[in-house]
Amino acid sequence: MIINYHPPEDLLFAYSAGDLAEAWSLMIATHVSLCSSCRHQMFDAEAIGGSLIENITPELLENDTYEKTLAIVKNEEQLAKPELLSQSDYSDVLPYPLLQYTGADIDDLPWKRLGKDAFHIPLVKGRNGELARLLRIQEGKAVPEHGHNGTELTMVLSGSFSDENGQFVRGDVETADIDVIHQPSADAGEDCICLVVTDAPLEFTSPLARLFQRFVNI
Amino acid sequence: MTRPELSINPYIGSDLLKSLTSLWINQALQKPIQNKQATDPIDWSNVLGRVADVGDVEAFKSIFEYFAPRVKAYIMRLDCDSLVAEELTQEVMSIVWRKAKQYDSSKAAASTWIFTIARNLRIDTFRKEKRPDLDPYDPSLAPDPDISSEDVVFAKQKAARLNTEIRKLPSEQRQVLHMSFYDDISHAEIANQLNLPLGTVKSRIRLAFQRIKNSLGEEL
Repeated sequence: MIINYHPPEDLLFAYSAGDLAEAWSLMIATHVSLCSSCRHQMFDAEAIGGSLIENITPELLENDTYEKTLAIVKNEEQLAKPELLSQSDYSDVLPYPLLQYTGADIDDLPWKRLGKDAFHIPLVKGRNGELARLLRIQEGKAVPEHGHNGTELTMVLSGSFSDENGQFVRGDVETADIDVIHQPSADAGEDCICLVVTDAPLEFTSPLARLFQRFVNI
Repeated sequence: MTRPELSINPYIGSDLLKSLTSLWINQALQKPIQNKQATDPIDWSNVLGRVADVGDVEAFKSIFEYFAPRVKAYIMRLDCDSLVAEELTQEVMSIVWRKAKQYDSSKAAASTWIFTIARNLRIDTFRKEKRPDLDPYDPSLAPDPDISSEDVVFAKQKAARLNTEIRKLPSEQRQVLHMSFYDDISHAEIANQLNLPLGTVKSRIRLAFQRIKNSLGEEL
């Protein structure tokens, strides 16, 4: 699988350092599951974290820290071991980080209608207006044309979509900022399922879509 | 580990010889330690590997003695009190023991692996948010390119050389790297604190990574 569109590097760095808010982190964790090149970049960034923690000025421990740590280890050994997941616990479409949020595979999810041709499932609502959701666009249909008041990342999980900026397939991430106005439409053949993260409400071009926007949180 | 103290006798005169002798002894004592660190750094990845492979308690103890005070310092960067940091350090180190079997020295240095455990626990505790993380057993994971033995050597070299490269960074790049990794703050907050445009912070971080990567790449 060749992935042509990657998320912005600075999000990958912030995720590796542990500074990234949950909704964006979900996007990055899902993308690095599908993209080995970004995954390696993450490993490199984490190696810097490793080096920095090695070079931090150490703090004195209490006298019994080691003994207390061993006590925790002993306690946990007595608890039942969590069972390893089997193949059927995973999904073909949703990488594991995402599956942890949906709790079920795509066909078993309570999809909610979003406009005429799409469905969605909100997943994470962040403190600063970030929103992560699954979006399902019916094959051959488009979402209403919109601009952005912030950043919108859209990653394809199955099917594909096209807009003014190209065609996006599984693993690809489209980054749309304030200066982008687009109208993604699912390619024919199958529904397009995406993970979408935004940090501000969208700006729909058509008055009808704007009216509709009042009733759903997008 | 106690460092020999340098004791200088304040009474110069009859005690001068004694004082000089003690200076010499102290230096002689210190030297081999310094040499050892410079030429023969401990390969923590091997030590952690022994914990992973055979549950070596002595190996775990030495990992603990080296890393636990650092993990505590990393946690205390978030202004929490020492008691909380103590408990979290115990938690992190117990996870190190429990998950040691998952550690793969061909993929990451011991310090990197321990960093990720401490980082994730810090997020759980202080931000009260979940940390979405990839699962190494996920069948939908894009396969890694094959890891050759040269890559393993490179991974270890990288860990050893990384320190030097970070120190060589221009101070303004090192500063944003430190803030980003040590303190749990977003790029926007870093920009705010340093009174810089957000774009400058992002580009400093990007440049720092690029620079480190380039100089490590040239090693091969």
